Amino acid sequence: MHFNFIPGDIPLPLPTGGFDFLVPFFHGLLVVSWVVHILFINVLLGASLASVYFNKRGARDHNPVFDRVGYLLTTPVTISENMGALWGVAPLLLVSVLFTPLFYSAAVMNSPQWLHIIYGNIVAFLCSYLYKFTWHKLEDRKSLHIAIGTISVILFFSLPPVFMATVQLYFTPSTWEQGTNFWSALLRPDTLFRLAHFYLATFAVSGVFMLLYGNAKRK
Amino acid sequence: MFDYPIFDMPMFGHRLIFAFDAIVHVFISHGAAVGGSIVLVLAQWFAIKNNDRKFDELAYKILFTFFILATAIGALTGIGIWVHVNIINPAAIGALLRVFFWKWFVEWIVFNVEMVFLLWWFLTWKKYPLGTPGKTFHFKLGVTYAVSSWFTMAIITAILGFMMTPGQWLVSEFPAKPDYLAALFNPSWIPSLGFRTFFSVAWASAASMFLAWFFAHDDEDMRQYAMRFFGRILWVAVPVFLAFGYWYYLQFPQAAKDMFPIGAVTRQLAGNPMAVWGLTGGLAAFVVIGGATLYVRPKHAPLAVAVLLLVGCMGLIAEFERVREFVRKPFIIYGYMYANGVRVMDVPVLNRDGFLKRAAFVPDELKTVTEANKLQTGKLLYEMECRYCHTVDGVNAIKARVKGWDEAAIYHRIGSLNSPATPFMPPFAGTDDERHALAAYLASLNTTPALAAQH
Ligand code: HEC
Repeated sequence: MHFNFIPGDIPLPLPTGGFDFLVPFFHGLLVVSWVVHILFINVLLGASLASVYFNKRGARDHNPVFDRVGYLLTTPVTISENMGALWGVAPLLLVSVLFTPLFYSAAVMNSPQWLHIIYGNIVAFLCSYLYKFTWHKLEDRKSLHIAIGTISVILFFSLPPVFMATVQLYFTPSTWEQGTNFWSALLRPDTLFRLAHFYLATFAVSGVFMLLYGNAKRK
Repeated sequence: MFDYPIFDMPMFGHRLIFAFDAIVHVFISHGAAVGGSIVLVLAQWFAIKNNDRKFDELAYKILFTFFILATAIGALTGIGIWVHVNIINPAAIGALLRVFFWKWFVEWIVFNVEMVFLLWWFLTWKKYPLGTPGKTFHFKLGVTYAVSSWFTMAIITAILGFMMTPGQWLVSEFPAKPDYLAALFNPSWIPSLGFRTFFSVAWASAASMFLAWFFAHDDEDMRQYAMRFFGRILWVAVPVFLAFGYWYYLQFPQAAKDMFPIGAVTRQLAGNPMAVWGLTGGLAAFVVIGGATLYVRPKHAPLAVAVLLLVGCMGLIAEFERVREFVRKPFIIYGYMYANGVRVMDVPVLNRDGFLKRAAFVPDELKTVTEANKLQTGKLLYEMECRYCHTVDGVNAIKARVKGWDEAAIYHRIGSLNSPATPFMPPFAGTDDERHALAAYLASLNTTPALAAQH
C-alpha cells in the first residue's frame, strides 16, 4: 500500500495513566456508545419522516387517526434528536483521542461540508421544534405545517452523508491525495454503499420502534 | 510540526466564523442553561412556597424559551466549538484532549444527567400542577438539572483556564509526561469558575427580565412581581461576579494583562483610553440603566429599556470572551503551543531543518525551496503559519498589512513578528530560504497578484 501523506501523532501520551488495558476498553466504549447513538439517529430519521407522512395522509384523507399518529411521533423525535446528539459526543471524543491525526485530517479535507453537522443540524432542530409546537396552531394551514416538517426531515437526512464521508476517509489514509475533498470521499463506492446500508437500516429499525411505541401507546 | 491538511476560509477567515459559534454558545449555555436553571429553580421554589400559580406559569414560559435555545442551539454550538477547532487548529484540540480526556468524559456523563433531567423537568411541568404532592418531586428534577449543568461548566472552565494559565503541567517534555492534576487545578480555574457562575446567574436574570416584559405584558402586577424577583437576583450576582472577576484578572500573565486594551477594542483604537473605557463603560451603563428602570418602574418601562438591558449584557459578554481569547496570543496553550499550532519547543528544530520538511501534507517536490517553486512554497508557509489569524484580502488581510513594502522589507519584518510592537504574533519558524519564500509570496500579493493567485 502506498501512502502519500502520513500525519504524525501528537507527542502526548494516550490518557491511560500507564494502564494499557484501557486502550481496548476505549475501543469497546467507542463501539457501544456509537451503537446507542445510531439507534437514536435511526429512530430520529424514521420517526420524523413518518410523522410528516402521517400528517400529510391525515390531511388528505381527513383522517384524525393518522393526524394523531403523526403528532404522537413528534415526542420520540424530540427525545431522539437530543439524546442522539448527546450520544454522538462520546464516540466523537473517543475517536478524536484514539485516532487524532487520522480523524482530524479527514475532517479538514471534508471542510467546509463538515460544518454542516453543526449548522444544518441547528436549522433542522429549530424546524422540528417549530413543527412540533405549532401542530395545533397551524391546523388550518396544513401545507405550511407540512413544509416546515419536510425541511427538517430533508436536513436530518442530509447529515449522514457528511459523517459517512469523514468516517470512510479516516479509515483509509492510503487513499488520501492532494485535493481529496468531501465530494471525492462521498462519491466512492465504499462510502455510497455504506450510506445506502445506513438508510435502509434506518427504515428497518424505525419499523421495529414504531411497533413497540404503537403498542405502548395503545394501552 | 504541522501534521494536518489545510482548509482555507476566504474573506472572513475561519476564526471569525468560529468566534460567532462560540459567542452564541456562551450566550445560551451561560444564560439559558447554567444561569437559567439556577434562576428558574429559584423562581419555582418561590412559586411553590407562596402557592403562586401565575408566577409558576411565567417561570414555565421562560423555561420554554430557554429549553428551545439550550437544546437546539446551545448544545449544538457547544459541539460546534469542537468541530470548528478541529478544522482550524487540530493540533491544539488534539493536545487538550490528551490532557483532559477523563474530565471531558466525566463531563459527558454529567451532560447526560443534565439532558435527561432537563427533558424530564420541562416535559412534565404541566403534569404536576401547583399544590399537588408531585410538585415537590418535580421541583427536585429542576434542582438536579441545575446542579449538573453547573458541573459541566466547572469542567469546561478548567480547560479554558488551563489554556491561559497551564501552570506546571508538563513534568517532562520528552517523552512527554503531563501532570493531570496540576492541569486541572491550574491557577485560574477556581477564580474563573466563580466569575462565570455569577455572571451566568446575572445574565440569566437579565434575560428573564427581558422575557417577562413580553410574557407578563398584559398583567402589570405580575410584571412588577417578576421584575423585582429577577432584579434582586441580578443586583446580588453583579458585585459577586465583579469580585471574582478581579481575582481572575490577577491570575493572567503580565504579557496578557498588557494586551487587555487591544483585546477590548482594536489595535488602532487601543492607544485611546476613551475608546476602551467608552465601549466597556457604555455597555455597562446599558445594563445599569436598563436593569434599574425595569426594577424601579416595572409597570411603565418601555420595551426599549428591556432591549437596552439585553444588548448591554450581550455586548459585555462578547467583549469579555474576545479579550480572553486575544490576550492569550501568541499562544493557544500558554507557553506550550502557538496559536497557529506550532509547539514552542519545536521552533529550534524547524529553524534548523525547515518547516516544509516537517509538514506532513506538503508534497515531496515542495519540501525544499527552489527559485522555481518560491511562490508556491511561500504560499504553503503562509497557510500553515499565518492563516490562523490572517486572510489574504478579507479580515486582518495580509495583503493590506504588507502593502507598499518590498520583498526585502517583508523579509526583514518576518524576522521580528514576535516583537514588542506586535507581541501577539508567534515568531516565524523555518529556515532562511523559507523566510525568503514567504516574503516573496507576500510581496507578490500586491505586485503580481495574478501570479500569486495561480498557486
Ligand atoms: C496569533 C495570530 C497571528 C498570527 C499567527 C500571525 N499574525 Fe500577523 N498579525 C496579527 C495581528 C492581530 C496583527 C495586527 C492587526 C492590526 O494591526 O489590526 C498582525 C499584523 C501583521 C503585520 C503588520 C504588522 C505591523 O507592523 O503593522 C504583518 C506584516 C503580519 N501580521 C505578518 C504575519 C505573518 C507573515 C505571519 C505568519 C508567519 C503572521 N502575521 C501570523 C496576528 C497574527
